[in-house]
Amino acid sequence: MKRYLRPLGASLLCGTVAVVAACSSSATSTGSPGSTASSAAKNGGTITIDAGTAPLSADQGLDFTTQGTELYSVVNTPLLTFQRGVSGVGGAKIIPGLAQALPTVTNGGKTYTFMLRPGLVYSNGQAIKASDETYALERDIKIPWQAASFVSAYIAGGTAYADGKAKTISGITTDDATGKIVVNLVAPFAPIEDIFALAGTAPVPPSTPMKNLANTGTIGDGPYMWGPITPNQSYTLVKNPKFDVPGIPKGHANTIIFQVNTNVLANAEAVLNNQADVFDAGDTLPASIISQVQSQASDRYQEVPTNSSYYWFMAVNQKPFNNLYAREAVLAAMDDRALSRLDSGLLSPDCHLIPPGIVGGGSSPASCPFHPADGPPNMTEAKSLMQKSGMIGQPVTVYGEERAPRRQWLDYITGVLNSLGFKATEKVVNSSVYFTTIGAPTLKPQFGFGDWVQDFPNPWDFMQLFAGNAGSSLNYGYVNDPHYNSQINTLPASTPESVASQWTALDNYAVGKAYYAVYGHQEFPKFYSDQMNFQAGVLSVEYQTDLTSLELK
Amino acid sequence: MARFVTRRVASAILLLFAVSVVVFGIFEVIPSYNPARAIAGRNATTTTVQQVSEKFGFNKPVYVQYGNTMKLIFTGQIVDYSDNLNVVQQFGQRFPVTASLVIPAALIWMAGALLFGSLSALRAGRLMDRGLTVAAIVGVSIPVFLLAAVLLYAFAFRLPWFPNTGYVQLGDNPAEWAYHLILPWIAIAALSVGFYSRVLRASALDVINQDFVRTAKAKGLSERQVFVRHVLRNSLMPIVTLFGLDFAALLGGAALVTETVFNLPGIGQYEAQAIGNLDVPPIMVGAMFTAFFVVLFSALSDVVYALLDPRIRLTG
Amino acid sequence: MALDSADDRGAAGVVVTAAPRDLSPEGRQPSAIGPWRLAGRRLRRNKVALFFLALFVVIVAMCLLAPVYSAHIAGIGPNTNNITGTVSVAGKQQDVVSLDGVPIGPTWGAHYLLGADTNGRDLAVRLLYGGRTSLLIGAIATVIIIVLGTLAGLLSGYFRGAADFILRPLMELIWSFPVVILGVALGTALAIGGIGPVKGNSVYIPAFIIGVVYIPYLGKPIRGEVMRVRNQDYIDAARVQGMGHWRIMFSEIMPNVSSTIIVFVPLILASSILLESYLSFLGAGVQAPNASWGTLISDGLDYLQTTPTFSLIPGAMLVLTVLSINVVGDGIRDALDPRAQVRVRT
Repeated sequence: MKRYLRPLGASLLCGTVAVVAACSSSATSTGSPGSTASSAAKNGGTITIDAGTAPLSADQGLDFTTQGTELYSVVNTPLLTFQRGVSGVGGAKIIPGLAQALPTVTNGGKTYTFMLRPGLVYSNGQAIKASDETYALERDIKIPWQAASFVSAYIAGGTAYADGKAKTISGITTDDATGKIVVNLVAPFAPIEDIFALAGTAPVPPSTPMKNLANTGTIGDGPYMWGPITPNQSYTLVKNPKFDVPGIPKGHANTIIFQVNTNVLANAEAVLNNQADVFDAGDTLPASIISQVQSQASDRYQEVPTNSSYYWFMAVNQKPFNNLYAREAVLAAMDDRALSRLDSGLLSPDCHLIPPGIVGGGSSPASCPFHPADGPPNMTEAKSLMQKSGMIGQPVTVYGEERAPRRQWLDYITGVLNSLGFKATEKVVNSSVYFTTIGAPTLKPQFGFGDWVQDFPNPWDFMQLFAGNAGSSLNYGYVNDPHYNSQINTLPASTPESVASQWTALDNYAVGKAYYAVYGHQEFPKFYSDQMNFQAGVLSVEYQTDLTSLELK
Repeated sequence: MARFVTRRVASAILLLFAVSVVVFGIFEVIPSYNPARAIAGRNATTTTVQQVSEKFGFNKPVYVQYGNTMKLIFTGQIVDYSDNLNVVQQFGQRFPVTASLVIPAALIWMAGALLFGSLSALRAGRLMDRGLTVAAIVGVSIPVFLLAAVLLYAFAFRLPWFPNTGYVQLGDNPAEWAYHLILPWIAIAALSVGFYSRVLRASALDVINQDFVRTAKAKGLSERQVFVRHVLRNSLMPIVTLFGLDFAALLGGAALVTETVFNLPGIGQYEAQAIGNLDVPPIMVGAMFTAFFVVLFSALSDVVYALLDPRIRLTG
Repeated sequence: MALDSADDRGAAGVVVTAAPRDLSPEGRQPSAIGPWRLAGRRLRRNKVALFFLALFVVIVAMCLLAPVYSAHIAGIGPNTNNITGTVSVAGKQQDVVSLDGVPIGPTWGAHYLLGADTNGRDLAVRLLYGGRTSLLIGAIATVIIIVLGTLAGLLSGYFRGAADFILRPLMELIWSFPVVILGVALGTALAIGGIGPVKGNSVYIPAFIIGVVYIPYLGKPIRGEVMRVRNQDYIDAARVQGMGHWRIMFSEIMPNVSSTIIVFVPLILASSILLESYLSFLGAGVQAPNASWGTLISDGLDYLQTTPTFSLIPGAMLVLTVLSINVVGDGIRDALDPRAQVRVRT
């Protein structure tokens, strides 16, 4: 009942003012990529991570959760990868993984050519062949991978394979002799490089069954490989001595054990009392223990910003939120500071969808309409907007998850809607089925909770949530704005940096139309035991707790 | 005897099917229930959802789906929707944990009930009796999640005498296994021991006043001999029946609250998570599993009844 | 965690146990007053039961006065959020909820007497309103169980035949589910969609679920009692006299089982209130943002180390209420029939 979907992206962002403090005390060096933080790194030992949420599966061919990515990203290295151990606003730089170099792009952006590094072997000694990549992508579609649409929608021949009309994905051709992999896309799509940096696209031996291997995980070529797994309880990783890919750190600990206990408070206590080494960053540190942690363990606790956004969606195709004034009233009345307190203070208030750490984000919270995001709400304006809208007294059902603090956020926003004059009732849905429930075409929710943690550090990843194209069940508000849709279609053809200002403009446009009520970006807890080298550990937004950076003192 | 067994087996099979239909039905009526969506995930396109739907057969009529699910259950191939794990295997892995929790706890509470119930009956009306009465009523008035949380707080956190949740396999380390289970055992036993001792007390008092007991005493047997050999034997019946039902329910996962609070990966925890996830296969298997135990223990206690009291015939 | 009863063989399936023989003067003399008056007298002499009855009445009264407390003393409703507000404690203004999200502890003043929860709501107000909800659910469930359970027991015990053929296996079916699991499954399912016109977060849903789950625990013993009474000669005599079935049921049989029913009422009430707390604790009972003692305990457990009162006070209220009902129930049992006692456990 606690699935945390979507992996996180890039590394720490140190550009904006709000997080300079965090960055200056953050551990990792800005030295050459792949170098370990301290030259006198200690290798060996066993590190335990206590987590409140288990991955959906240890198999990267099914799973696409934050917890899962944390784990199998060190087992299954894809063709490309996100740079590890480096902090900086350079964002999560995409570097070659199992490929020799970044792909060459030809054919007007529709063809990507990779060359596999020669002589690579899996953790079991088997040689890695170019055709293994095709097999892995087909496996993703067959199982299906929770992000299978990335493969089937953008790679030519993917849909035909998914429908069972083709025996293989026609858009990929490989040559085992030379290690060449050629990928043809349906249309130019720059984020495809990010997709090839996701662990789910990593090559696997062709003997790997095309089904979810939750009990064993899969074979890959990474700094670690799988040890014993008890699904939903414990996942063990052991060092892979055969791993040697330039640019990717080999890791320090010999064994990493990820253990699951839904009692997050107990996990926090365990780390506080040094009975466990790492508090999984994907969990919220309960408010009741934060002051204790800050006083007793200030040298091993830090709050780190991430590329994620929390928002309320409002259905624009039905009453009452088909009325612009009604939506604006919500923006005017919502107090982001209150929502932050409910999150143990780990939320940085903002009204923009693109997080500050991603190209196109970083607009000041003070520039939000009606009131600065980190200031008190503007109730007078809100009430007058409600009068103008004529929607006073309208019934609204507000949807939210039962997991803390989402339920508390739900209680709060329902109260706000009621104070505006709506007749709001809340409906709590179990976390593990929440998004699939509200995404169901039959439900048509009026108002509800939404969150997004980056898949990869590209503004398209966030903005595509509100694109009006059919087939996407992520657009819970049924937003369908022609200008917005056209921007979403054209901007991804170029690199994000080159069109950064246009992404920002699109975000501001949507905020102006109150298409979403974003209230902030999450900060994650970096909390270790005193046996860990705190400075060396990296809390990376793409990989969450970067397992290769963990080392004992 | 043979008739007894056949009738019980027949009613058991009927019951198992009825239970499975009820569980299946409960979740089918939920308007937003869509397991295909849940399996395909948040990002899934409609095509992926359809693909999953066909693969699992969710687009077939309800009774066909029920039939398929039952078939999968009985061939041991049923997987759960949230994690894609084999349900029967999960039950097999988790049952030892629940058994480790329930069996020793049951022994503790029954031993306690026998002891305190007997003492209470022998000293009826006196201080010990009154004290036990109070303890018994308090025991049935406390919800187990509160008791478990307070035990954890007091004895695992404030006074770190016991480990802070978790389970260790018996095979790995018997001492640690017991050490981790002591607080959960206390939580479960504490609720039942008072009640059972009161039942025994009442039943024993009923028997004590009967003529044959006076005869035994007149024969010159010591009070203890009279009590153990004549009184106890005849007063065990109500306890036996109640115990059978409670034990069956616990084995089937009724201890889910205790397992959740103490993070014991047993059947109850699995069923609780499955219910939250609207994950039907584990709940169906769990309900049938429990019903099976209920029927089994109900039959067993009938047999014990007949053994204890030769006047009773087993007719089923 | 349920009403338990032995299988309904022979003597009514009621766990028949005995108290010490009543050797008091009243017990030995043939009484000239009716059994109900006698029972009333015995109950009145039971000081402990009377004390707990008074305690129960006090608790119920407090909970019923929740709106008064909310309006005049606390000045805030049970579901009103106040996250960024402040409250005056010993002359100083303090945040109701700190910047870290830690709510204020008991102020022992008019506002936030018992402290606040993470949403800044007044816990004392929620405690009283939660009590109202828990007691209301318990009462409604009890009514459902008494009415339907008695009806089921009467019909299947008296008519046998077709009625028994349907009702008995139905009761067995419900009864073979562990109470909590059936309750949570139904609660989770119905919380989402509701039933018919009743919405998912209505208070009638948990009441209905608890009612359904516990029907066999009354129905089966009643059935056994009815079967036993039905075999008596005077029933045959009544039939011969030409009395209709329903008249016999209500004028001859009912009075004989009525003492069983009366004895069950407090036990069912206590079990219902407890079951509601289990369901709410697991999220399948009272839905957010409404409070019940179960949800308050559940919310408060996160703060058990820092502010134990958040969960222990609602916990104490719940335990005291259930305890009082159980003690009074014990007393009623003793009063009605000192020889035959019924045990019901949760």
